[in-house]
Amino acid sequence: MIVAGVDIGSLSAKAVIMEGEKLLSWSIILTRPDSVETAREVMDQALRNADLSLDRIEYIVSTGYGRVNVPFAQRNITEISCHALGSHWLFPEVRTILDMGGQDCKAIRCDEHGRVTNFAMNDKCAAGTGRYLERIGAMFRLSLDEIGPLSLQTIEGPVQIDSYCVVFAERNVQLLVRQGKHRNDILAGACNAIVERIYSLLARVGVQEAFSMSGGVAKNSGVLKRLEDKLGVRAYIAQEPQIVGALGAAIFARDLLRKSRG
Amino acid sequence: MVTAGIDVGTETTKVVVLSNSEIVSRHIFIGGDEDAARLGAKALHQAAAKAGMNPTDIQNIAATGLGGIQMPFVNEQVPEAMCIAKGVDWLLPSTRTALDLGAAKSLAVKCDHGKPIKIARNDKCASGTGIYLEIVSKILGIGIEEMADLSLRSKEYVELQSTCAVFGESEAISLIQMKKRPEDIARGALRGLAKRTYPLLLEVGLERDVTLLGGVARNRGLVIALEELLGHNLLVPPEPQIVAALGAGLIAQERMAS
Repeated sequence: MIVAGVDIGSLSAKAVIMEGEKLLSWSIILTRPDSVETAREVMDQALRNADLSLDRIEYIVSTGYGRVNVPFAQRNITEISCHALGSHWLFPEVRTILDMGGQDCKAIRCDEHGRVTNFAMNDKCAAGTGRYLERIGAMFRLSLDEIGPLSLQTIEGPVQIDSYCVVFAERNVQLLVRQGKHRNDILAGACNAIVERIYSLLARVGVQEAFSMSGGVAKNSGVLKRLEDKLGVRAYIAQEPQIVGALGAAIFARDLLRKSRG
Repeated sequence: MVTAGIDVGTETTKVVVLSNSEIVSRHIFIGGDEDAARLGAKALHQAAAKAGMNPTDIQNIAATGLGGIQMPFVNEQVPEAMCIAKGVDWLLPSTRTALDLGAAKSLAVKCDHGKPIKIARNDKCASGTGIYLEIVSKILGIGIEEMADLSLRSKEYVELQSTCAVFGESEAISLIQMKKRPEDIARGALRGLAKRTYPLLLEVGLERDVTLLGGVARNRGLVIALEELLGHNLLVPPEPQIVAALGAGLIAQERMAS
């Protein structure tokens, strides 16, 4: 019984292929302006990685912001539900999930079956998403994955970035650079700022252990370390935190297929 | 009795010199909040020169906006809302609600004969300030002045969904990729900014006449977008940028007289 999950995010698209409890392959590509084309490409890549053709996949569930534009999917399910189920499959003890991507941030609570019991989301303001770090990093010509390690090597300690809005924070950072503040200290300040925003989103749903973080920002050690310190818990992180939503979609596909066969 | 008002903004510093309650010179200096003392001194010097004076001829100086406190030659720092209410009353006395739209802030002031009675302010979110227009005009590859002219040619606007300047930037890029007309995107962006400043007006209790000031008030496209939203005309002073500096200068006059 081979199934797949496809997660079309605003910045990246992910696909996962599973057979029973086994993860066969996955793929991650950058989202293109055309969602349908993006969906085909990310699926093709996952199929190639598993050495399969599309007709071998018995059920496909799509999720994410572009989930309605996946013509080969049988069902679409919200990314909140998929993230909860995907995290639960990886770490059954997890009850609180934070998914932070390039353009949104979700705090999710789930039960022992991986079903969503509560959630809070920000997709309106870039300041509470991965975009914030991306923009601040770009000012130093750094990619997202370089920010974390550098932010943990501060010189005089993290600076305070007072502006909330990304646009104002960029101006604030320009000023800090001119004042001679060290790059790493500024990056540390930016990580602290994002952790504050994550914390307030998590506070809206309440943090119950175990805690897991997914999405691209989970790969950022500067954010992760500070968030763990602030919450006083260790986070469960998937080997590839970006595919958790697609993984959840694949598990939904498997369960739906089982149900349809009685 | 010679006084001056200095208004330090994020992008420009404005100075108005007054003699016996008449404007003798005004000057807009490009450069904002960074080193307020230095910028303020330069701007003041140039404004004085325009009036054929030395800065030392100015007997009382009031400052408003950012960083006035750092200027040693300033006698008093006055809150922005007080300056706006004073300046707008002097220019357009029928004003009951003033909306100051600058590069990095928007401020609504309910006025009563030159006094502020209620204020609402946004300096937290760029999507409700002039910077938002700078961002979109850059994407369109035009200057902010051209954006207004361009928007006036639009017959059907594009609704921009984002309420965040950063997401709005991506949205404008994708609208261009979707081959939407630049004039319609420009008009959509101006309407978006108007919509986001509207709650500030409601918060202070919108009452006519409504006067628009600040650098963004020079944008004819935005004035029209706000008028469409309000369903009535707005007043715009001929030099909308200098209103707060004028108010500060007038307050400096009053202080001397009393």
